Amino acid sequence: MPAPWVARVIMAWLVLHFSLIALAYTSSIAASSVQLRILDLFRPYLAITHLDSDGTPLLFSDSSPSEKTHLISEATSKEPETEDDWLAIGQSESNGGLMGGIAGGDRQRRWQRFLATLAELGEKEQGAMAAWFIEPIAVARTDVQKFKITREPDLMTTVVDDNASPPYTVAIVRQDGQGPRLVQAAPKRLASPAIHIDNAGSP
Amino acid sequence: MTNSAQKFWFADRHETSSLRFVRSGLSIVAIWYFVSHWSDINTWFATEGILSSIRIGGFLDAADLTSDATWRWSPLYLTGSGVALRAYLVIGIFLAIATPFTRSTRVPAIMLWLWCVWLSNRSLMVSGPEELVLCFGLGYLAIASPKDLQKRDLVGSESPRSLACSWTTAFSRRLLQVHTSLLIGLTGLTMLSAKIWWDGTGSVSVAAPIGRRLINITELITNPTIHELLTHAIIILALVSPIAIWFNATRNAAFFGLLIWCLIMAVLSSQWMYLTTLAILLQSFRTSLLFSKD
Repeated sequence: MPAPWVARVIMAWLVLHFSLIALAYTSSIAASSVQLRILDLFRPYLAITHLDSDGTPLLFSDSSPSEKTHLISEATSKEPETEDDWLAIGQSESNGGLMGGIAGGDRQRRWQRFLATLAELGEKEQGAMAAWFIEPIAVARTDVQKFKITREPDLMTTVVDDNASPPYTVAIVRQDGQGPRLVQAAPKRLASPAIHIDNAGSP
Repeated sequence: MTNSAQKFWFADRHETSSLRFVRSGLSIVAIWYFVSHWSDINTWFATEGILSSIRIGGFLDAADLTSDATWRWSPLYLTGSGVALRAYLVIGIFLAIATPFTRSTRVPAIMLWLWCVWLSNRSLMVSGPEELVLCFGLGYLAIASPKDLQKRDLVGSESPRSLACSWTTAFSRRLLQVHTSLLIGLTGLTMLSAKIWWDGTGSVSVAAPIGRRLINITELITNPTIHELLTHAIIILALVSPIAIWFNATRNAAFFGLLIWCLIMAVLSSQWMYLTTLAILLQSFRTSLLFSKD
């Protein structure tokens, strides 16, 4: 048995330790400002030891778009017209090499987490953030003009989901002697035809 | 501090075979973890990699997330050399092999924990729950006395001498048990925040996005009766078993229930590394007594 004072110190640490872990795990769903302030205060402890879930929800699924299978595709044409103009990267080891990791389970999951983050940034129109990570792929593939990240249909998606525009599409602008510049294409939005309403309120 | 709390955390007198199993199991998962990084580590973390230190730094600055990531310490941020990154993985594999065979020192166990934590902290944007369980499991195990974990239990013996272990080993076991049950219980609680775990489609939602799977049960779970029953069973097991496992009368049922839960979730989600690690950590409950009798 430890010395009494050691036991007391350990017991105090245990209360703090497991309270912080419970706060960290539950904060991935929704966090109150108090919860966030406490977690911020103890972030050094939780982050250095990798005890927090780093925002990863524990619940396996809440049917959010970020859980879907994401696919990154490239086009060598500046204005790809059909789906045939796009080629999915990493579907086979022989297809390029750079993203050849989409074969095994654990490796595939890492690619999926990465692509889901880019798709999320694209949806929030933060293409400049996503460009930090797409750039090395654009540098390695000199003939590519466009990249897009799409979500694959599955048992839980609807026809509307399956026909949604890609969350992230980016055009590569290449200039001699400089690195590629990436320009995000604006996502398509739902729109209604313009109508004229006269003063009486009838169309 | 109450006497019973002290006994609970520091005076668990039981054979150490289950902890030995946990240590060997986590070492194997650690090898699996390092090997799974082998092919892609340069693509991710090398100087020209997608998540190179410079890119991550630039992204965090631009996104104003620097304060969130400041404490994710790892020496791997200091190098982008492909050789150094691969050497890191090789050392990690050697540490994982050495840890179960070490009797005299905790150094390999502590180093293995640090090796996993540093790689997990470096894997910003690509890490997941498998790193979470591996890191706390190895961290708690490093507290246990390596001498205790090398002892052979006397089969069938319950003499105090055969069951005696140091307080650090007892403490390590309790940390593993409490953290594992807390994790599964909170998983169940957070599941309740999503509608799919109430309307019976949770199990399909977990399985649906997985393209290439080891065991394909997609056809089977499209049957509403099956996937709804499965969803309810998953929730009930995740909420009830982490509590039931602490009572002598229900320990065995809860223990096997949670092992089945891990298997079902692994088949559905294909997160084999995470759920294998969780199943290994659950072994710390095997034959353990909640309160020591002496």
